[in-house]
Amino acid sequence: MKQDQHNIDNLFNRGFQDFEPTPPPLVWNNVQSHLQKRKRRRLLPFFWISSLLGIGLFGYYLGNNDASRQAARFENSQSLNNTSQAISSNNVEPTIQQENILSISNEKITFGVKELNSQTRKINIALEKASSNTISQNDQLKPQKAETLLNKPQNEVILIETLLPKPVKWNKNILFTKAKKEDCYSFNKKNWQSLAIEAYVGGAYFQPILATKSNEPNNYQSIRDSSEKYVLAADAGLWLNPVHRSGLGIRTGLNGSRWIEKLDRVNAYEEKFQMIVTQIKDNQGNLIKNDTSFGWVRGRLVQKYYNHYTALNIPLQIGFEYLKKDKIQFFAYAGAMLNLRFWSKGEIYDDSEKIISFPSPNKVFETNLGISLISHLGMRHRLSEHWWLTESIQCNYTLKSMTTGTHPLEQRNINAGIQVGLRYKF
Amino acid sequence: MTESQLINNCIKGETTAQRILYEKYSGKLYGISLRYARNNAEAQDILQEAFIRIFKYLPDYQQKGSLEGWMRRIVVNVALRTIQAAFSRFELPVEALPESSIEAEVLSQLNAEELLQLIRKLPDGYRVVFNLFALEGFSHAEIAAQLNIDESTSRSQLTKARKLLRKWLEDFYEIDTEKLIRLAK
Repeated sequence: MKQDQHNIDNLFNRGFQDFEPTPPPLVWNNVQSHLQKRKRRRLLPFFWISSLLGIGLFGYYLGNNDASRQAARFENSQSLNNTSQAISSNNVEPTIQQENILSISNEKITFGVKELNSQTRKINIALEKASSNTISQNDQLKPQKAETLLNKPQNEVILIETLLPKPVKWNKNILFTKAKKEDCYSFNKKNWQSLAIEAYVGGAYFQPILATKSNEPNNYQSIRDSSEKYVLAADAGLWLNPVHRSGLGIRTGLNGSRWIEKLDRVNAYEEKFQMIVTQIKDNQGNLIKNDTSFGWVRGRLVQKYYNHYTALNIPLQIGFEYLKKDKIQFFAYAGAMLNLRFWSKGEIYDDSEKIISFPSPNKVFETNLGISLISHLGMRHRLSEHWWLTESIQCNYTLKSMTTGTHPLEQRNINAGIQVGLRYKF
Repeated sequence: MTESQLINNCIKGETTAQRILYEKYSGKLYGISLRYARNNAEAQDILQEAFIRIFKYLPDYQQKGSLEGWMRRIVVNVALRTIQAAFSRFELPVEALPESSIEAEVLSQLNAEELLQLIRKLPDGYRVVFNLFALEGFSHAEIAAQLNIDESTSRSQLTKARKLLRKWLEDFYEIDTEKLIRLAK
């Protein structure tokens, strides 16, 4: 009886050993269409979140920019007449007044900023006067060019003293005051799923958001906007990241960032008399003759500016992590970042590529503290038991203006970029 | 491409890799589905659902055991879920069958299609327990846990399944394959 049973089991085992019937193609088609749907569904939330975030930030930027531009235009048109009267009655320092605006050297402007930093307005008016004198004496320039040239010296002063940080009174007692026991969060280790440390690097494109705050007669903002060539940021840092079993995560750490802003100043109204040589060649490319003509060429790159901002930041973020997958994780974090802008530098190249640098002397560039909003959306891939590769997109917006109180423009930055990191999970 | 690379590419969502994996294992897994299902359409549904789950849970596969074993387990689980409604019909009465022996060489002449027809004739409960015990190698304790029944129930289902199969095989031995196929229909 037992042998019978064994025979039956063996019979079926042997019979089905190489039993591999071909399923109908319909099965694979259904599986494939289901997988594609799932892929689309998986990407959909990220697409919507990223789109909404992008649209929101772009909308915010546009709203801010339009409002400030309109305000600037209004202020400029109102104050232009008043200022021209003020110039005529102002006592201008003779050394500056006698200079031709197109030939004012950078050294002299530097001197003006260094020596008369508290009287920026006075210098500006003096330079305007100087430029208006120049225009009236120059027969090559048409009357409508006066307004543009009038802006030039003031714009230079702005760019030289760009982003002067505001002094902050630091109270060292903040660091050493002991928290009360009842204010401390009780940390139950069992509830925390993981603690991770992550090193990362990132790159970003940033967009300065400018707003006029003074009644100066010039359209600084539009000149700044038109001369902006590129603005790039790079950062690197460390995250310390405990994650709760529920997916709730907290991140803090240290971040260093470097922003570079390039501006090209072109004097579109400057005309130069040039010789133009045209080579005339035959079908074989042999030179037949040179035609020489003379003409006026408009526009000239006057100066190039590079503004560098370096900051040390302490971020604090709260967010949610999707940890249900073994090989992949998703996360979204948002929070604030304390910015210690400890070093700024402006570099100016004149038209002969000669560099005039302002390497953060104490009188010009000061350490200041700011706050920025920062958010991340990303994913991680498991590399091994403890190591993960992290990729995320980040958005950062500086809440505090980076310019000094005396500066006619407020500058805040908004940046969007990517970060790649290596994470060690304990 | 190694199996590990194939798995990683499937996890990344590469359709070509998914197709290769499907082509490689679909035959074997379809064979399992056919053994558990009551008909071909149900077997195809089981296979389809099983592959969807395989691709979904592939990131969870630790690559410690064999991939085929892991996939077989998924197919069996899907099959059990599909025919779960039949579990209530486990205790089907079986008529007393005459004791007799079957020669091994006769049994070896039966092909898989014929055996499949026999298995499909079994009531759902018998078929499931016979498949799990005789073909998948589960113990009665494991079957009991899997189906949420007593171990004794699993044993009795298996005995009854074997008796029925033996009876049908004797019929096959005495008459011919044509009769066996007619019975299966």
